[in-house]
Amino acid sequence: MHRRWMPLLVWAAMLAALTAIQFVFSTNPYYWATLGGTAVATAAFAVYYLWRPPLREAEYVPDSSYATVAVALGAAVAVAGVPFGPWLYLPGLALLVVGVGGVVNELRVERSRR
Amino acid sequence: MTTVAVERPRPAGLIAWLASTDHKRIGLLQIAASIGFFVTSGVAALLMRSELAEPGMQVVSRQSYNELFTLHGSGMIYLTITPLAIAVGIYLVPLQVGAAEIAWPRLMLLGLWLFVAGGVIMYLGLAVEHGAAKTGWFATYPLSSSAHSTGKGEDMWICGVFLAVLGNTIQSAGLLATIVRKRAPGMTMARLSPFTWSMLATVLMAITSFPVLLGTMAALEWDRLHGGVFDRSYGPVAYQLLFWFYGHPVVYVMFFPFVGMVAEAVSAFSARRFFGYKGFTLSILLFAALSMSVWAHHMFSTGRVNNEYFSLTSTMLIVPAGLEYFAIIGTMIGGAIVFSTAMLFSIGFLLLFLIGGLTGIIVASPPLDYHLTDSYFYISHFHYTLFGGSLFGFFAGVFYWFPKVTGTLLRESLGRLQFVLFVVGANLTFFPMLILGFEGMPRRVATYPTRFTTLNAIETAGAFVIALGVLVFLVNVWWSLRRRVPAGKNPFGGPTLEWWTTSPPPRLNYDSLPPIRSYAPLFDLTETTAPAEPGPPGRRSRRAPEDKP
Repeated sequence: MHRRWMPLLVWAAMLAALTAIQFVFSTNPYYWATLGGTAVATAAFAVYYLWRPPLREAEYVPDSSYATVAVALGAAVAVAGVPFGPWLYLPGLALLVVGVGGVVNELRVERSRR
Repeated sequence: MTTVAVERPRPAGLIAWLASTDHKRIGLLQIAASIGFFVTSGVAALLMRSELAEPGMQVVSRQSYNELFTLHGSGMIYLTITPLAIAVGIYLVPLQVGAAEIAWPRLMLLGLWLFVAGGVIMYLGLAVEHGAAKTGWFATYPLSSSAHSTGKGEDMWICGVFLAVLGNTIQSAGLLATIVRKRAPGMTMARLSPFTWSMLATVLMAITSFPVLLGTMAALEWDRLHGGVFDRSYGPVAYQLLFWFYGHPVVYVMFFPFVGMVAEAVSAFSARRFFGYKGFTLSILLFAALSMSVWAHHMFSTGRVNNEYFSLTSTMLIVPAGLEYFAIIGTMIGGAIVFSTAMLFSIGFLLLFLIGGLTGIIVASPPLDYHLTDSYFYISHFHYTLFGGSLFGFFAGVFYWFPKVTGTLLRESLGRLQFVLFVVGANLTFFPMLILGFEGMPRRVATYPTRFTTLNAIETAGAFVIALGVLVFLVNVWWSLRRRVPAGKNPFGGPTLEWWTTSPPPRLNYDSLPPIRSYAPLFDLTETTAPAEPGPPGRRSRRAPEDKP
């Protein structure tokens, strides 16, 4: 168990307590689904990390990552293209794929340096 | 001392900066972008105030006015204060926890560019047919439906908000991972600085409330394209419930980091350890949790929410808020206070946010809310909170940490001038709004009855005084970077870990670390090395550094 993630569990408990107080006043599903759902999701995330083996830290991260910028711009064009149609979102998706490929390549290089 | 990292060269040039994975560069780029959006949104505010200087339509059309208040509110919330709060954390948190790098640096870079792209897309709405979005910063449904908001401007607003908030959510997750996983040996949770604690509370709120907005924006866009989501009997109320589940915690996301900044500036310029450290950290967590449970107080007047619960939790916020005030003021009492610009902005923060907080307690009461809802009283309350709170706190932090970031001191004389202009401008602009709102002037109107003319004219004058203050700040930064006054490692006697390293810090932050036995390791060192020296620890001079080039 890795106690470093304990603050998340504390946070989830606080949200759960506030959800419980809600039931005294109202059972509107929008209230408990949002706040209670958030508490459950946070608790699940915390429990997962509390018992998961520690993540291995990257020993070398490159100083620049152009591929990451391409991912961001590709995602932005793709999202902005949704209301405009395929002439915009398809180029965005293409840029996104190129960017993801670049990031995968960067990770491969990192792994080979370990 | 602990050796933490071996230095390596950093690539130079603009392109290397834009794609850098160094958390300091990412943070600075995000601060620069946020200030750019701040200026743009501020120009929108000046145009609005010019229109409102007297009744009738003089400067812009009614449609343009609606675009202006939407872009002003959205620009300030999604593109200025929220990303600014997170950007400060991206710069400072790894330094304060003694980490060589931030967790998930690529994701932090991704978040930066998603936010910038979101802002650009939002503003590009001005260039399309029917103009930009006109539905305010919360895009109330059904006003934001395709039937009532034609044109692509509204869609671009939704996409822009989605991207900006997605970027900030990713960055918040990275900051949480940094605080949890990247702490230096000896840096336990109970030794985190007040600012890092405030960032922890901030990112906990962000990662638990922002995803709800992402889902809501996706659903709203789907509704505009295909229908069938919010266009049902309970749809508009459901939209508001989901939106405000993000919309209220984000107010605290925009506030907490600046409380942390003020707490640290006050501690350094009072030359005292932070008073009530444990109480402060507990209260900020309680504050954050409570702020997740107050969202429907924005909907009292709909008659479709449980007033008792949301009024109770909203009023309870005064308890942790009071504890934080008590801790900050307790730090000053008995301290050897230096009235530097950072300290002045901290005091201004306490006084102006107090007005924002007390008016918040008024509107947490449903009967009073019924009278004041959708009036200028709310505009005043919100601006005392976000201008008086967040921006005063931000500038306290800027004047405190600018030497660490650049190795250069800002000019104190220009800083004091900016402070005076901000205090005068903020009160001229926002205080008359309380009276106007109480007397019934509604928000989001481009004209008004003639009996409101005098107070509106005063507000317009105040807005231009604030703009002058912003100009003085930009001149101060330009002048200070041009005629540098070297700052050294720790010009103000700061107690936290970041003041141990050089100014500006190297690529991997630290060559070595001091022993960490509390949240203020530099006060610990002073106390250990100079035990016979009387007076408060951590300072030799009680004067702010001089403005000598």
